[in-house]
Amino acid sequence: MRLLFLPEEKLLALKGNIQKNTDHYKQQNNSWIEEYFQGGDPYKDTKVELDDFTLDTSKDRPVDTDLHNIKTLYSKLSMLSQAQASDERLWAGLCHSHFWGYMQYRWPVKNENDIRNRYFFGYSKRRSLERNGLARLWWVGWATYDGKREDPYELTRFILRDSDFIVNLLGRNFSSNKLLNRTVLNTLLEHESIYNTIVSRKMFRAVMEQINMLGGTILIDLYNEDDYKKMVDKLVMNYTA
Amino acid sequence: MEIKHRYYPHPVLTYYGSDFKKGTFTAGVELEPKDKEVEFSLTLSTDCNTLINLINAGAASYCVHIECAGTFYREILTIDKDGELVHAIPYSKIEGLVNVCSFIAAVEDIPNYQGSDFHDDYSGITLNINKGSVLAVAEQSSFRIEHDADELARVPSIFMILEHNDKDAKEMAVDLDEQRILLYLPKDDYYNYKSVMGDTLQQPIFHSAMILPALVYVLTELRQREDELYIFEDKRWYRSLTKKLHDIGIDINNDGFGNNESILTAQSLLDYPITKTLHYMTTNEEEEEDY
Repeated sequence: MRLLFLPEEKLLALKGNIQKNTDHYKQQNNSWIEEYFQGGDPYKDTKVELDDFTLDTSKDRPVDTDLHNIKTLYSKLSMLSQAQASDERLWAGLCHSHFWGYMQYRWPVKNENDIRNRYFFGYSKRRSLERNGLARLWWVGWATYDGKREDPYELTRFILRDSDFIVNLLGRNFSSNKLLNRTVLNTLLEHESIYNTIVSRKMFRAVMEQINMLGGTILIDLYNEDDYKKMVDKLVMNYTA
Repeated sequence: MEIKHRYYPHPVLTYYGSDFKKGTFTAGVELEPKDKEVEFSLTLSTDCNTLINLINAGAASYCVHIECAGTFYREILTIDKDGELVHAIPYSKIEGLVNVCSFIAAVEDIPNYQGSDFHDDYSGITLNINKGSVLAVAEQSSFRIEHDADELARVPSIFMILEHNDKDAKEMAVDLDEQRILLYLPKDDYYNYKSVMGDTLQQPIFHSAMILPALVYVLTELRQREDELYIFEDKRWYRSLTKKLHDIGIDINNDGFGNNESILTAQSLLDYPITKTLHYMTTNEEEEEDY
């Protein structure tokens, strides 16, 4: 398959007429898009050639496909640069073309906001990357993949335990620091396996908030892996529910 | 990261505070776009002896934090004591707003931090500084990196015409929330517009009838929201309009911007479309124009 994107003019034409097209987004078939553009193919070719791949739509609970689909999408599209992977035209193009069926399954549309936020970038760019139906798969993979582990997606599995974990990690600016991400998640996992600590939503959120606060007073990026580990150890030890 | 006028529990040499009795810390950041990367030339300098001594002893370092939140790019550079570094970042990693913040920071724990140039309030206090602590802050630099080799670079206009979402709408509506200014036309108007849009001879009429009032609206909005223009900074139409305004001698960030009459400015920006329209209507000939 060739990777397609929606040129800006077509993207704005669709995004600007969400209200008028809402019912189309509830259909299994996306043939209306070509009709909307009067028979013309609205997509452009990125010239990136890929083996055909699909995303899993087989589970009763769509959320249960996230891990598999992160692995699939991130590994197939790992060649994307950070700049390419933060481009609305790419993800909006894929949401409306190759992965229309997946979007129908995972993010069924109830209202206009669902379309704006899941098929397009409805928020600031940063937040949109964590909300768009496909971009989120890639960026969770980017933030949590660790090729040095026996299971490179072990940290991904951990963060998918609770959707709030994803928001609390990717929503923080420090999550651009991959070493910090990996060390924080790894240390929390260690606390679970070694000390039987249960990393609850509340604890995860508290640890992330503390790291964020710390980043306001020190240059946290100057820390090394050992410093990050000690920092998280201390935060977990001092945590009171 | 963004520099905020933050106060710290220990003396920090800043451009906005008075923790130090004397001394300055400055950062020069220059960008040079290359073919596949952008080169940052960084020059950091201080005349504060306390900090110079710490840097020479290896306990502190000049640091530059570069962040592009939109692409999850974030990097910290530590710079030798000469304070100079040229650092290249590929375009594949950054796009949009890039913030460059310069500091002097402790690269190891500093027990009993003292300085003869600290404000008197700190006399007699023992200060223990942790690794990573900020010791000096320079003014932040921000840049917008737009390296778009495809068709986006050739967008001919900051406006885009769409059919109105409301089928009963009778008026044109304007939307400023996207990368281009969206003009929504009522259904019949939209199809009439589409039927003549290819006729370049009629462009002056199009400019007068739709673009001119829309631009007046946009300029009026900007004037009224003079204190919060930052909310538009990530919009391509805003940056393009800012440049076009600059070309006709108007600085959108200048205090006097609000005094400009929108209707006059809009006509100037569009190169006087009313004159051209009337010329066309009376002669059926196009004036030479380049919009």
